[in-house]
Amino acid sequence: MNSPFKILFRSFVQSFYKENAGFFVFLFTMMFYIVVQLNGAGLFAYHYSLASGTLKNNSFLLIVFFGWLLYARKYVAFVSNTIYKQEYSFLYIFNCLGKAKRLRLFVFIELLLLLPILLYGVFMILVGLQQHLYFPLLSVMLFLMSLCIVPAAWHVYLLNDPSKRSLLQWKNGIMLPRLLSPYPIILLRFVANKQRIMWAGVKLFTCGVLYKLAQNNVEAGGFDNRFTFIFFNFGILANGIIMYRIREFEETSLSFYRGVPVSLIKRFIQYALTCLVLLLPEFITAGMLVPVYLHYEDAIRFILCGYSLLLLMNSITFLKNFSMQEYLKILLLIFCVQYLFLLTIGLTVLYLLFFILAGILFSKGYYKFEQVIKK
Amino acid sequence: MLQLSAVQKFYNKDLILDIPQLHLESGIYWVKGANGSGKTTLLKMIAGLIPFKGDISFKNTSLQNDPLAYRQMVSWAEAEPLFPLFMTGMELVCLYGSIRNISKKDIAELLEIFSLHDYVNNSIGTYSAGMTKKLSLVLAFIGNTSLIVLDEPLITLDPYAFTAACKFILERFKNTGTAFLMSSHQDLDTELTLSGKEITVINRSVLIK
Repeated sequence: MNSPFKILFRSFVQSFYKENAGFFVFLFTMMFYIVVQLNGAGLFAYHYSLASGTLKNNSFLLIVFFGWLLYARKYVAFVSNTIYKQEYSFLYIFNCLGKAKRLRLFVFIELLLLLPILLYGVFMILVGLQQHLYFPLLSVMLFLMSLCIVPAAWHVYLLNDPSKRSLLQWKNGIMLPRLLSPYPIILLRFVANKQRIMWAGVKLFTCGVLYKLAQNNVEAGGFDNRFTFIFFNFGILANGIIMYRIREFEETSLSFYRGVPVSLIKRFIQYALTCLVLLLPEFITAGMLVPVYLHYEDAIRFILCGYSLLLLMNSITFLKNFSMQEYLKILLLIFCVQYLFLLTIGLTVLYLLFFILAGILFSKGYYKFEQVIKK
Repeated sequence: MLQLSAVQKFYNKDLILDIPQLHLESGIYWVKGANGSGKTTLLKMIAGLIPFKGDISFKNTSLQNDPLAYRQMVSWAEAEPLFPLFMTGMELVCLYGSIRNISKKDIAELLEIFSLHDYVNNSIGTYSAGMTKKLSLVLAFIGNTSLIVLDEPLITLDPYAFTAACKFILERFKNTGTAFLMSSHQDLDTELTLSGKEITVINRSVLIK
């Protein structure tokens, strides 16, 4: 690795994967563990049929392209924001290199950032070649190439001219109606500005899984929603990553709020409102499935379980300054506990317990929390 | 007025501050000390931002036992404030105004004193360090709090804002009796710095001159 490439690699690639570790763990678990186990087929057979199906169906291919585009938007925004960070101002030295060299360097960087998709894309191309699906595989190749070259050119351009930054950013994000008190609005605006891709992805997964599994369940003649609950709940757990990011944001940009005179109960209500808005798509989806695909009791249980779980995940972040890895381990543990409850006592006890726990942990932890400087 | 009792602060099991007793009467106080001596930690504890062992009370209201009432009397501004870049200064001013129950007229006066009118409606992402600093001071001055804790209040301010801040602090102290607890590294020869008493953070404890 030569020196300029090494610096770009450490500045963009390493930090991107580090920052999004939770997202990748979630994605890989879904793609290579959960879904394959569900399907019952082997890992290769499952993904082979998935790739083949995608290449044969144009509308499905377009959806996949859209998903890839969302991912690309994520790393493009990450690199663009990094370029403008004060601590990365030294990167302007790269403007002394020739344009071709700069472009080459950034193409390599984008390739590495695109790697998870690129590897799957290569697999799809091989499947396409074997099945003689030349037109779709050509479109996959061209699309992947454009996902490398266009961002690379954009970043070279951006590095050269900092004033273009505003083109990329959504000014002030999505405006939220002023129905809530100001603090939840600030938190939700943060999600709308900085976590919208993550939020949209999680919602797409949770609502999609809930809708499809509940529908299939009934069409297959059964009404056992335990299986649907496990997957729905997995999506709710993924919301925990958003809560974690919100807390990080609070500790950096809203640390003053701990010092203002707001009662503990009001603070808890503010978080409860934030969680409620974050989970609205799940609630609406559950509502849409009632009564044909989901019993009223089941829908209420799903909603209350999801809501209490998100509140609990938020309260947990006040107990200690957890790293993302530690936090994900806790989420996994909660998932196991929920599974046990599902098989034994039932969900009603579970959500009641989670609501109580969320309240207790919040009241114990809020004022005692401190972002510890790790040695 | 301000009473610290058996206050201890640990970071990673290291004892940073150990203050068995400290009593401060109303006034303007400058907290001095070397880098890393614990000035900011002390101020943050008094502002109710970080946890600690022991208790701090202001006008006989304990921070540990009655956190809400304590916070109603104390306000705070950081040395190097960070606010959400997507928000406007005005949104934060309104947030503070609604919590501290202050009228629009009072807010407008504060904005006028610190010349924030020109940019307070712009997003914080466009502010310079000095502009953000002025915003944080205005936020701390919102409301009728009896104790204002300011960490390095005069750094990064332009000469006009520097004079305005010094004048405002002195006037507020004289007119309302608001106590000020501030840290500073600079030995400035201004009326404000000369009128304050000095507290030194040294050897994990504090000394009053």
